[in-house]
Amino acid sequence: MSAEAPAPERGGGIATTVLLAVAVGALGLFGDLPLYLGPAIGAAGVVVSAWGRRRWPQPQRTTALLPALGAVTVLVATSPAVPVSELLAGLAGLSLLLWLADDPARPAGGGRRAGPTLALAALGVGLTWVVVLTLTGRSAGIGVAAASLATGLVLLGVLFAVGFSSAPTRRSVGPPSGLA
Amino acid sequence: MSAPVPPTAGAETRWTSRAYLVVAFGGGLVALAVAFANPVPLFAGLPLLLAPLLAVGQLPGRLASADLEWRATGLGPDVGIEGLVRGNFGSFATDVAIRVDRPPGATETQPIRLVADPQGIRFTVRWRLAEPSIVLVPPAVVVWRDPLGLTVRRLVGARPTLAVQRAPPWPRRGRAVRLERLTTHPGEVRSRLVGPSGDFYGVREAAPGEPPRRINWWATARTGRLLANDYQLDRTGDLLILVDRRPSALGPELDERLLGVARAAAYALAESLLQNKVRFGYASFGEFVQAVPLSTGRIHRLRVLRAIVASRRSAVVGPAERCALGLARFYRPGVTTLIISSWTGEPTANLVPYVQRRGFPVVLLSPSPLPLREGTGDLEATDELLARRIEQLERRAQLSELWSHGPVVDWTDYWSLEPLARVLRRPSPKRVS
Repeated sequence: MSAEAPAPERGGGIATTVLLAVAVGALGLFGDLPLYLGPAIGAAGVVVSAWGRRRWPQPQRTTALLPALGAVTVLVATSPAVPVSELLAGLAGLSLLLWLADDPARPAGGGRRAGPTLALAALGVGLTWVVVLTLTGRSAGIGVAAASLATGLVLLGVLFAVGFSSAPTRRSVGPPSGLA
Repeated sequence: MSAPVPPTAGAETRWTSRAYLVVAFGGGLVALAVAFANPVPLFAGLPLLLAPLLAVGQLPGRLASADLEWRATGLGPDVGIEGLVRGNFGSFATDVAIRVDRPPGATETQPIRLVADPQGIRFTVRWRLAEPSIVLVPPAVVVWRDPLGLTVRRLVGARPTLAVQRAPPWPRRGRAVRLERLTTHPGEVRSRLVGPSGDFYGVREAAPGEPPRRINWWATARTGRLLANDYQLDRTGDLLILVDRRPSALGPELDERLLGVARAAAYALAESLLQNKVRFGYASFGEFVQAVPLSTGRIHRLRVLRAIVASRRSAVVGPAERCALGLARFYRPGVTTLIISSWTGEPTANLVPYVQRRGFPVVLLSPSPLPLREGTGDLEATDELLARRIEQLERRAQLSELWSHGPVVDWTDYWSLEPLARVLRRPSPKRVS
């Protein structure tokens, strides 16, 4: 009973799918799983997700994200606590967000429009990685400062959320248009 | 009386199911990191936890409000809706979606199209109506989704309801339609009626608040005091249009569509009567009577049109006697009453005798539900034809009982009012005084 606006130009999503597969595959490569198993799990999760969001019926399309998330979960759980794995895990999370933005069901250019969100998320990941790296390198002062900055970012996000959800509203008045 | 305008809800931003999924996995990864004392899951979970918050933060304040302007275009069964959502969207216009709900009985011939504009976002959508109708299109819903698909904001602002009018054309022969059944014959004596329109009758003192167009400025200049014109109403009979809004055994959807057809017929007839300067009234009956008194003129036209648009299907079946009593309060007995009802069963069948008993001669117009019914597909073609034939005979038997009260028009071709026009053109054998 409703007409929903179709996008004039659909997003492709192939490039971001490849990027996600590479990031997750690399994470699997540096994990504790056997050499071919890690990348295979990652690639399989990404491929199933990419196929699902194109082919599954609309109500279930939201759950197309699950295989990729599951693959990332398995791989990060089996990764050793080394800086490279940590960085690759952060990149995998960011790639997942980029992949979400480049949805073929939405207008093209979603990744570009989501740039500010992704940049801040990347900043948060980068700062956290630096914190961990510097703390292990005994530069605790820098680590604490960076952690404070990351906390500030999160608080800023919360403030935005609260501020925009209580924006002022207007009410419509008057008779229906169309009465000659 | 204005048609109902649903108030807009407050601007609301909510997370989508995708956002909850992402946050749940992000939280799970953090828990995993704590449980196994391994920071790697933490790094994957951090962007997933941050993204929903940052997506809300990306929402610009200028998207708090967006006013809607729209109108209906097209002819006959084709309806085009053209609208503009005013707002300073800028690059955010790409992620704005507009949803327009179709009225019952309409099919979409062209999906909605959006075009970004310096003034806002323009949209067009095209429908085809199965039958003539006067429907209210609910206000279009305008939402903004962030590019990640994690948050949805419903934009609020002025949201007028749109009335789409598609009435069957009144058959015209010559310059004007003569409604012989309602017109007084030469030699018939009728009380003189004076009103705001018609032929000139005389000059009188102007009353306080008299409209300027009714002031006789020449006479005012001569006498030095305000004088106004009186007009003798055209020597035509009065007509009351009564629409039955009560629910029937057909069910809410068919009832609503048949009521839409009845509204369209009332609208077409009202326009024709106004062109002929006939004094007429409009009433509808659901649980109670809602009436617009007898009158004519442009203000009356607007008043009647609004009453027609506001006539919605009632949830409660009002007793027929209440309708007859209500009519007697608003109209003098003797006014020819055109009752528009489907007469498909007991709740609606008993209206006519009560109205007639109160002194209102009746003409009955019955939009047939048969054209709206679709076969279930269980029957073969020949059996389907047979079933339709049986339904037609059953309906004819139902309507035949009403002929004892007045002429009945079984209306099956909704896009033509010729059968009703034929009845109204034919002089009544018993004159209405």
